[in-house]
Amino acid sequence: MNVLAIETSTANCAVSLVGEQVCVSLQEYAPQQHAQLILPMVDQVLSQAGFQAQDIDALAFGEGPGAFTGLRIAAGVVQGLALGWDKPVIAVSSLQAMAYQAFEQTGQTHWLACLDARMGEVYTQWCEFDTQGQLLNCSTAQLVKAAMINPASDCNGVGDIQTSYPAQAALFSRWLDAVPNANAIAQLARQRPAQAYSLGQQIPQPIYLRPSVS
Amino acid sequence: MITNPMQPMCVLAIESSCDESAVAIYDSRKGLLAHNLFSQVALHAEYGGVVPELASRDHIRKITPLITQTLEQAGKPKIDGIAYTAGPGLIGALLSGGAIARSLAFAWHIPAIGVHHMEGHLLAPMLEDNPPAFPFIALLVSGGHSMIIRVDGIGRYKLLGDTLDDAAGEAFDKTAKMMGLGYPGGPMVSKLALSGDQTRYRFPRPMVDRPGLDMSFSGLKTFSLNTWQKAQAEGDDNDQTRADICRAFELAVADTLMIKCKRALDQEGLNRIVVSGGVSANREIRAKLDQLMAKRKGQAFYPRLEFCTDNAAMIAYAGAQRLMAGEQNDLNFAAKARWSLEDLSAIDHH
Repeated sequence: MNVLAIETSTANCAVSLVGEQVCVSLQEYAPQQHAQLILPMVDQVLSQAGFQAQDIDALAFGEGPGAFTGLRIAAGVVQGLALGWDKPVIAVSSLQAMAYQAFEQTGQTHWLACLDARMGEVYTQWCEFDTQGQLLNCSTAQLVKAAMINPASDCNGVGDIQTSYPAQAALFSRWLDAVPNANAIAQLARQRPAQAYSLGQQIPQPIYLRPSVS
Repeated sequence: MITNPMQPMCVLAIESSCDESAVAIYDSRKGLLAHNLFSQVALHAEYGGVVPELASRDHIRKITPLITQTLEQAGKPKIDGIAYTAGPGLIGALLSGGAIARSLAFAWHIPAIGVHHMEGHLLAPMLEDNPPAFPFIALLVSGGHSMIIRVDGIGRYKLLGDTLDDAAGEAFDKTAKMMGLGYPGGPMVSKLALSGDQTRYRFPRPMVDRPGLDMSFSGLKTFSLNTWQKAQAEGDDNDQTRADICRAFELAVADTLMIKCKRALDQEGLNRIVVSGGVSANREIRAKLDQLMAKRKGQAFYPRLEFCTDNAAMIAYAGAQRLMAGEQNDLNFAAKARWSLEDLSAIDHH
C-alpha cells in the first residue's frame, strides 16, 4: 500500500511517501512556515518518487495532539487532497509516531511519548510494539501536568520535553529527543489499512485534547 | 497550471475569515451556480463575541462537507479555478479554508487565488442584475470595518476614509450588549429601532463638522451607555427606553454615514455608491442613502441581503475576475491577518 503522509503537529514540517517500492521523505524545522512549505514538499516528494496521484492508495496525517494551527493545516491539506484525488485517509496519533521513531532507532518496544503542550502541561501516550514494529497496544493520548509524569524505573521516554522539563525527562531509564515525522505516520498508517476512511465516512479532524475556551 | 487570460471560468470559492464557513461556485458565463453557508453565530453567542480557536475548529469540520454539497447542487460542473479568502481576518480561520482550498486546486491541477475579503464585499453588487459601472464610491460597513473607498476598477482602490476607533457594526453590537440585547446584537438594535420614538433622544453625529472622510463610532457607543445608565438610575430602564435609544443611535449612525458619503461623492465628482457589509442591511441607513442619491439623481447599489454579510459568492466573483486575468498564487497558502486594499494589483479587462 502506497501512503502519502503529512505531519505538522510541531515545528517539524514533514511529508513522506512510503510503499513496497518507495520511501521518500522530506522534513524541515520551520516554525510557523507550514502553510508556505507543505504543498511544495508534497509536490517534491511525488516528483522525486516519480509518482502520480493514481499511484497513491491512501493519505495519512498526524492527527495530533500538538500545535492547533499545525494540526489544522495537516487536516485541511489531507481533506483537500482526499477530495481532489478521491482517496481515503488514515489518521495516526503524532505521539504514536514518535514512539515508532524511537522503536526504529533502538529496537526497544515500550515507549512513553511526551510532547510539550506548554502551560506546564504535556501530551502523553504509551505505546508497545512487537519486534517488527507492529503496534500492539497503546494508551489513549492525554494531557497531563508535567509534574505528574512519573514513569516506572525501567520506562523509556521519547519526545521534546527535555528542554522545558529536564527533571521529568531525567526520570526515564532512557530518553530520546524527537519530534513526530511523516515517515513514522506513513509506516503506522500502512499497519492499519482497515482504518482508511473516505471523506463520506469521516472528515479528517485534529485531536486537540485541550478545550478551545479555557 | 496555465490559464488563458480572459477565458471564461467556473470558480469554486471558500470563505472562512471569521465566523461563517461558506462555499460558492460562480461561472463567468452563467453567473452564480450554487452557494452555501454555515453560520457559527450560535457557537459564539454564549461567549458574547467570536472566539478565534472555536471558529477555526468549526471551519475545519464544516468546509469540506460544504464543498461536496455545493458541487452537487451546482450539478458537479468542471471547476477551472479555486478562490479562497486569504485575509484580512482571523489567521487560524483563514488557514483552515486556505489549506483545503489550495490543496484541492493542487490535486485538480487548476489555478488558485487568495482573495482579499474586503474586495469581495466591494464587488458583491456585481452579482446582481443591475451592477454598478466603474468608477464609484463604496461604503463598507460591518462589524470589523467602516471604510469609504474610491473604486476605479478591479484592484484600483483608494481608501478615502476609515474609522478612527470602533467599526460601525461594532458600535451597534456594543450598544445592544450594554442593554442586554444578546449577541450579536446589531440586527436587534435595528429591529427595536422600528418601535422607537425618534424625538425622545438626540445623539451626536460624530466628526461631521470636521473636514475629511474619517469616522468615529466609539463616542456614540459611550453616548448609548450614558443614556441607558441614566435611564436605569431613574428607574426607566424598560423596553420602550431600549427602543428609543436604538432609534436615536441608529439615526445618528445613518446620518453620519450619509453625510460622509455625500462628502466623498462631492469630493470625487462621482454619483454612484456601492454599500456593502453587514451594517448595510440596516433599513434606516439604506433609506438615508437612497434619499441622498435620489436628490443627486445618482444611484445606490446594494448586494442582496444574504450577500451583505460574509459569504463565498463574493469571493468566487472577485477570484474569478483575477483568475481570468491570469493571476494565480503558487502553492503557498499563508494567510494575512492585516492586508490593505490599496496593496492589491489592478487588473484591466473591465
